[in-house]
Amino acid sequence: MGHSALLTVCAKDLRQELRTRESFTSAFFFSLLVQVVFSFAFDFQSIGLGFEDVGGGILWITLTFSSILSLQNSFLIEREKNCLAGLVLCPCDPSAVYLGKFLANSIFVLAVQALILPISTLLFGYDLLRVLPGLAMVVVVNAAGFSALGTLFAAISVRTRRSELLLPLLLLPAATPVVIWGVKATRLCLAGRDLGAYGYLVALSACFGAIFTVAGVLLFDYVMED
Amino acid sequence: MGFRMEALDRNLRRAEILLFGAVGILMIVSLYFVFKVVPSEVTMGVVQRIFYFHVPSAWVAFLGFFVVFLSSIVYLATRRLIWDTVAHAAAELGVLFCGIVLFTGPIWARPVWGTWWTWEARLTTTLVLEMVYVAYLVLRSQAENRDQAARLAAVVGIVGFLDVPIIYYSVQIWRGHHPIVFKSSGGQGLEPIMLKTFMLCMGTFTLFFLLLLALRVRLGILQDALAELKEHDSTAGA
Repeated sequence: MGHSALLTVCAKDLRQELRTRESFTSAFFFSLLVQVVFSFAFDFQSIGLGFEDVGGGILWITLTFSSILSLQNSFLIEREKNCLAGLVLCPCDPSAVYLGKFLANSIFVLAVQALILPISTLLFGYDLLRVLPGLAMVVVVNAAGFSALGTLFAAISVRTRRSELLLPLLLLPAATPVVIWGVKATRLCLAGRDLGAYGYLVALSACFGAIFTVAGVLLFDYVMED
Repeated sequence: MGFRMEALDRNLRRAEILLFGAVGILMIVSLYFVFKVVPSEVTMGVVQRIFYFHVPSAWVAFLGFFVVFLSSIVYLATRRLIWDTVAHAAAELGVLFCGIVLFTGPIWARPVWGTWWTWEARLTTTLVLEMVYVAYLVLRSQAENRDQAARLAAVVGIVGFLDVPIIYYSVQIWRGHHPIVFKSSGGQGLEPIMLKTFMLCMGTFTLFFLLLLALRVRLGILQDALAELKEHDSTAGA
């Protein structure tokens, strides 16, 4: 029951996104725009820094801000036409709603990254294929960790009057660990180091994700009641 | 205000009078020790004395965040608004004292380290923590009603505190260490008189925190009582 409810919520969110493509389009172009602004702001070629130096930072700023957009949206769509009440009334455990949303958000963020990463490396002249397996692992684990906490906080902020402002304010400081570990692991990975050099960072991020998934499952009930 | 609230109000008043007397005396004694009794540190000079305020403020800030964590759990378990009032009061005090830490730190760091700020583990953690709990207070102010504020804030109060050691650990991996003022083994530790003054200041600040907490909790109770009266009045008028 709980298992299928989880997948139903996740499938519902993804189907909705596939039909409207609202979040995806804005998150994708927003991410692209961040890359361009970065390039203008720092002009890496003239200061002599390569993608292996700055790629981690660019990637994680892009990922955190586009994730916030999509996390926000995943609950805002429920607020319209009072769908949130419908989700609360679902004859399933509230944690299934949390886990479904968490899964859908992670898939969504990774889908955006799957497009942005190749474009980003192309723009900054870096051979992505050389580091792809390691980098993919870093992105998947850290993006999931970010979503675990982000889904819980998005559910909280959507309940308030100014949810758009509140979510980044809540999430960015609290998600400091995954961002720090993500940037560091990405930098080591882009520099061509092997898994031994950054594997512990990925493991730490996985722990972060696990801790806040458990916290989300336990506390989501209190967020949804009204 | 119900009967239990009135009893609580009365007890808080008593505690306040006692704490006010104790803090009033201890604060003067602490100031005397910090500025008259304890000698200046050899290498850092007179500026090192700020440490007797800096570290107790940090301790009290963490104590505040811990109180937020505990009362948030108790609130979610019992749903008695008084626990939320305690959490709110402790969060405000935590943010206040964390701000004092962030203010006194650079004053010390400028002459000793030669820089106002450095992205070192404890400094960065303190800054991030301040932001977590400022967000907690912003969330409270933007909730739609009292019960919702209590419920949502409790969740953030619990998650935020779980995050504290993780943030510290992550920043430590990112950057280096804080100067170690105490050493467990003999040798380069603290002079006995310095340690005594330090412990005195820790005690004073802890009692000061409890005094402010009691005052703020009582204010919260009165605010709730006033809101209830207003609501009663408006429904009676309509």
